[in-house]
Amino acid sequence: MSTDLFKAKIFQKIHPQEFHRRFFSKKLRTDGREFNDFRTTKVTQDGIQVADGSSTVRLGKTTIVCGIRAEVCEPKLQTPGKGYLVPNVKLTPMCSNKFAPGPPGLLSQVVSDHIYRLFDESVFPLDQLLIEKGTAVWCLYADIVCLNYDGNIFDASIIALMLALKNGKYNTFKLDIIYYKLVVLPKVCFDETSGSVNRVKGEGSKVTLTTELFPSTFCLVEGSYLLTDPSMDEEDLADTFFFIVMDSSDNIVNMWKRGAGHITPDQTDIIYETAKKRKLQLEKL
Amino acid sequence: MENEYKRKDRENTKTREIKISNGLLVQADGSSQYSVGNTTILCGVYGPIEAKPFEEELDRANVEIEFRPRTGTTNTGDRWMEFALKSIFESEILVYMHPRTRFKLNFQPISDDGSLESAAINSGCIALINAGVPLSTMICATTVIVTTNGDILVDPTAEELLNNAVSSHTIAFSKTNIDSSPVYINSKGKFTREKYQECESVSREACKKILKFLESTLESN
Repeated sequence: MSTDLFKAKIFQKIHPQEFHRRFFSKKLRTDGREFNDFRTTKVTQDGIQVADGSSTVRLGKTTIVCGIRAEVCEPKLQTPGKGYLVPNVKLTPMCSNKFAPGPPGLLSQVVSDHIYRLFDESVFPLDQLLIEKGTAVWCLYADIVCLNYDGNIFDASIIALMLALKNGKYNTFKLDIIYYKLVVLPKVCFDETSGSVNRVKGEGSKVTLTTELFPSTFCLVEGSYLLTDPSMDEEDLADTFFFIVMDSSDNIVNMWKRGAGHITPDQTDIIYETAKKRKLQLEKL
Repeated sequence: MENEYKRKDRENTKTREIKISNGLLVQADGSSQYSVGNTTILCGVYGPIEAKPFEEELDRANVEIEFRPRTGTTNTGDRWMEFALKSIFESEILVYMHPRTRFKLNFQPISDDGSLESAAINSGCIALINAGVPLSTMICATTVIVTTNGDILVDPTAEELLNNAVSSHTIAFSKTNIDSSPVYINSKGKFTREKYQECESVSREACKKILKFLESTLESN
């Protein structure tokens, strides 16, 4: 038995395409899922005490940790009343041998930029981060670190950032030597004479999201097998990707299809249905 | 009360004037400058050239995209664009005909007045034809937006995109499969499935017209 398993593993390594194809032809995937199944999604919120908000997301073996840190900084000249949300996805050699050490690679820059544009003002209003117009705003640095890469980084990082913001414990505020700990964005006021931001007594403000985002990713292998939530092996075989994000009111917020394959109307129906189901799943997290 | 936007200078389904000039770059194997209205982008193609040793692939050619911003240094937005364009041109170029080589496409936006992404796709396609690279099909893209009052506008200007768009859709079709599903979709904003499908058919009709125009200019050259 064990030799058979060994043989199967060698087969998988030598000819991954044929290995997967044999599963696909029986409407199964190598990890036992059906085509439309997502991997088990587990989340933990607020696992990092030193961060102002944090979350851990596991999508099968893909593990993402998101930590948010709030700092006071100056607003842009063009947008004096708005703060910043800076997502930064880190794909290090630690999470997969696909990624080289050094400056951020193409994929991590692409994911960071895509998330940045997804969490725009219609999702996360930036005027709630205002302290004093033209002088001081909050800047939320969201570091999204991948600990284990097994495909579908887009979904995992969006869910992670979403939960870290939702959890919204903005509990540290550091200014010079004063160190405060709060549950929410601390209440601060701007002192005009000294030109500094000071913490004042009273309840802080929570950050709010206008809508939640529910992402799902699909890929097309050999033009006919539509796989939901692809793992790394499946991503390598796929030639077409379909990424769709729904919001709380069942609208589509973002759709991104890339690659050569043609998605048939039947497959499009499956994609929309699955994305809607996924929304219900994620709402329960 | 928000004013309902109505386009005055042209019909909703009409693109701005398209201009193409091929072979502007002498050093490149092929090049094309594509402008639609005030949006202009220049694309230069090199290839097939020697692959970088660590990127060489045994059975296929590598496609490398460089997207330079008009001003300043490359940022993550340009990287995103490179990633998207790569997915399109990898499927368009017959990469398996040129094993262990590389194709390099350089994009240089000259002015951006909306619909830059679709202009980049179109300019890349024409530059590849100009370079004589074997392609599987011709690809053509348009950008459409949905305004606050539900109108669908083809080829929006930067101002329309900024002030009037509820959602914007960049959709690319291949010539051989223009009536089936698109090759590339990038939709952003807030929309329903029905609205998207409307946009898709509007953009398909616009793409057919652009393709016709591109073909006639390529034949006359």
